[in-house]
Amino acid sequence: MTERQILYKAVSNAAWGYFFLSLDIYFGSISILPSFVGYLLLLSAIQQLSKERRDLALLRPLAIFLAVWSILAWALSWAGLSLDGKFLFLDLLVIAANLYFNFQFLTDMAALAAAHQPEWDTLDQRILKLRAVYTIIGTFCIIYSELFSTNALNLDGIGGITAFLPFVALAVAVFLVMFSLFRLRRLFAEKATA
Amino acid sequence: MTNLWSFLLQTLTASGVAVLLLVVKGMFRDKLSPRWQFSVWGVLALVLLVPAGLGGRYALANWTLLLEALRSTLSGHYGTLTQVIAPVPLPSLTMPGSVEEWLYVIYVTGVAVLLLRYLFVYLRLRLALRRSHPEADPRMQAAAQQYGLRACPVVRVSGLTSAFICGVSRPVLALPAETEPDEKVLLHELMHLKYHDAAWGLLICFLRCLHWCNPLLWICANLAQNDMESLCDQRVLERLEGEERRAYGHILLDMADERYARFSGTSSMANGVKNIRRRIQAIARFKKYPAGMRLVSVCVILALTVPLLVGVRGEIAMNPRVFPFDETKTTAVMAKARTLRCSTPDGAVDCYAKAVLTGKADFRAICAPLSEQDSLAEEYQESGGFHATSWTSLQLPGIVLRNEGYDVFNFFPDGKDAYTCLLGVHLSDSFDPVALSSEFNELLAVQPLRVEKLDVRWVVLPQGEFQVIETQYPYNQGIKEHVPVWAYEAKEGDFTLQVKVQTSAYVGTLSSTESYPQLCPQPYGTFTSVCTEDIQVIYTGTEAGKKTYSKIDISYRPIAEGKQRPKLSTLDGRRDATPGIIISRSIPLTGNQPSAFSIGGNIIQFYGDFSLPGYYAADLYLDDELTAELTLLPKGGPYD
Repeated sequence: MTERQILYKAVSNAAWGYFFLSLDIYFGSISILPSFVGYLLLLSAIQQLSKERRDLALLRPLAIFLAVWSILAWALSWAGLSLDGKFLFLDLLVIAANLYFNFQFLTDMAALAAAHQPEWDTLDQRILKLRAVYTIIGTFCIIYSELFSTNALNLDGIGGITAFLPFVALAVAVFLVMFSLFRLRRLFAEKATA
Repeated sequence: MTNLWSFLLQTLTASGVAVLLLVVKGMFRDKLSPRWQFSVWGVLALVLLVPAGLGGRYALANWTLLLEALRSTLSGHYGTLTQVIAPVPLPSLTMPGSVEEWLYVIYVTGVAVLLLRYLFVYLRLRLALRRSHPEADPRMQAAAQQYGLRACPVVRVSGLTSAFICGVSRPVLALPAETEPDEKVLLHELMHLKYHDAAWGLLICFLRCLHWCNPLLWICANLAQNDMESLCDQRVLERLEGEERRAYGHILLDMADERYARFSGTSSMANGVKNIRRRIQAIARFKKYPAGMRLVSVCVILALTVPLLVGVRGEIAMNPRVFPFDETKTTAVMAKARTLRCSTPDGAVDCYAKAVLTGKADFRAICAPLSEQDSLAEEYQESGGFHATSWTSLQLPGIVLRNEGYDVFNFFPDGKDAYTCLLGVHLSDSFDPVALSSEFNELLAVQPLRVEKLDVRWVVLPQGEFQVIETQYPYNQGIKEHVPVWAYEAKEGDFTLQVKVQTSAYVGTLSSTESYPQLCPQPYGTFTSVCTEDIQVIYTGTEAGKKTYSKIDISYRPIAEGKQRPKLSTLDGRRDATPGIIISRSIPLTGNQPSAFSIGGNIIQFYGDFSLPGYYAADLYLDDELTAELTLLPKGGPYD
């Protein structure tokens, strides 16, 4: 496999990883697009890109931690159990790891884009902007849902869809990240076939 | 902190957060900047400075529950509730009488001794430095100018091994008299000066004194001070280039053997062999973190801080009886119940009502005053963890229909932080000896209650025994008979107009199919309420006189106390009348109409507090002619 093909495959994995992280389709209480698949795909992307971006290796322990947590949560959902709000200590660790992981991973993706995009292209800037938006909305959603799940926030006064607006915004941001990564992949596909 | 238990609550809460921060810091040791590594200690500082268990919430673990269970086990009493009023110890003026009181005295003494010791050392140092006549130093001035930093007076001290900044309000830089320190050392101290690190050091020292007997927090305080030095190194290295950075590392290496003494209100570059080794490792990893990293650094800290400060509320479950039943179970159940803390008066009434419906003593304990907890625990223990006999449905004069839930009538404020109401639970009509008369189809057991905020908990104080009344079903079709109402009245000729007001409320829903979760108390719940108004017309004239009228209309409106009586809409405008504000009813008045009759009213759903109107404005129309503009004044209440 050529270097370009490796990059193409790695970015493909990253884009599909974000697809699994952004979409949750449930069959009863079981997710049929589980998050751990997303983290495993991102882990594989990190592995494949570690030569190109040395800093990515630092994210491997975090990706493994997040994947293990997601597998555990998914396995428990088969027994009708949920980890949500049960262990605040672990929840906060996962939250912190998740925030940093996504931020740094997208930083590296932006650097990858900057190194390989044509001069006129601004894909790296777009990924960096999305990274910032995703981090801000993500933090807001984390605080919002933590306050809600711990009964500190009463949503009685907030009308139906308004209560979910932050999460809708987050989903849109993740989708845009995913599309940007697919665009980054196309960059390598063109170069690979050229 | 007013006793040993409140200190334990504060220090344990902080310890939990400290463990979390140590793990998070370990996770990000090589990933986030020294700026973040130091800033994240701010989360712990906040937790230490905010009273633990505020609002009945806890961070990471329910420390209040653990402490209460331990307290009850040790003392055999249940009428206590550990709470932290202030994050600093407040000494008691009474003579200690128990072991725990003596231990608290030892703790407070320890805090005072440590604070005084640090203060003494600091003042002695300041005095010594002042005696050495601080003056402007040309090298210091030059270094400050070169790096665009603020300078401060310098004092030369003989025998000093390393430089340090002393003082928060009027800082001075102490330098060894025998040697000329490197320019990078001066830069390091100027950085401490710029970022007020001496003040941060004082705060750390203060918190260290408050929790002098908690080794974990001392470790955290040491780590925080080391992180502050690492951050200062980072700031220096950001201003240095190439070889100078290497030279800075060598300066630190040379300091590794120096004697190290930490003073409050000072910042010293030398901070011990182990710490300098860590700092040199950090220098080896040095990189300029991109500005964008600040965003994720702040977000991670925010995402940790908010949930830790806000905390989690305790939850209650419909626990099945556990066999074998023993005293430990009682201790645990009663501790859980009293630490749940009803945060709303509505929630307190809900707990009481569900205690009545289920007969569970622990539900009653949630909303009972602390003074009653001992007797409740005794009853709970004697009954094997199920019914407590002195207050529950066992005492009710009939079989409670749990599926029907409860109603809270006329829940009105009664002074500051107090409410009164009437609780009604539904009884089976097979109850003997009360036989339902034909016009009523329901039996209610009612009990007057007073809800008060005692300290930090809303509690329910029954104001009498349960009594059985007959009334009509379903309850939301007008005023419930034989349940007290508030009445307003006015007279015009042969007509007396009366408005009766009654409210009913409940927390959550209770469906017709009984299931345990719906009978779970909701100590944080709020009422969904309904206010029912009913307009009564009483004709006091002769039968012949009544026949002279063919039609009666009334337009009315509740008016708040102190407000002027408004002009009401005419009958023509009644179609536009806003429901609940202006109501107009029209009914034919014939000779067959009884002398006292209802012409309807209004039902309003509301949330939150309800204030009774000051009076009602009503226009009386007879045969479509405006006969009187009346003001219905309160008759008082409640009336049956």
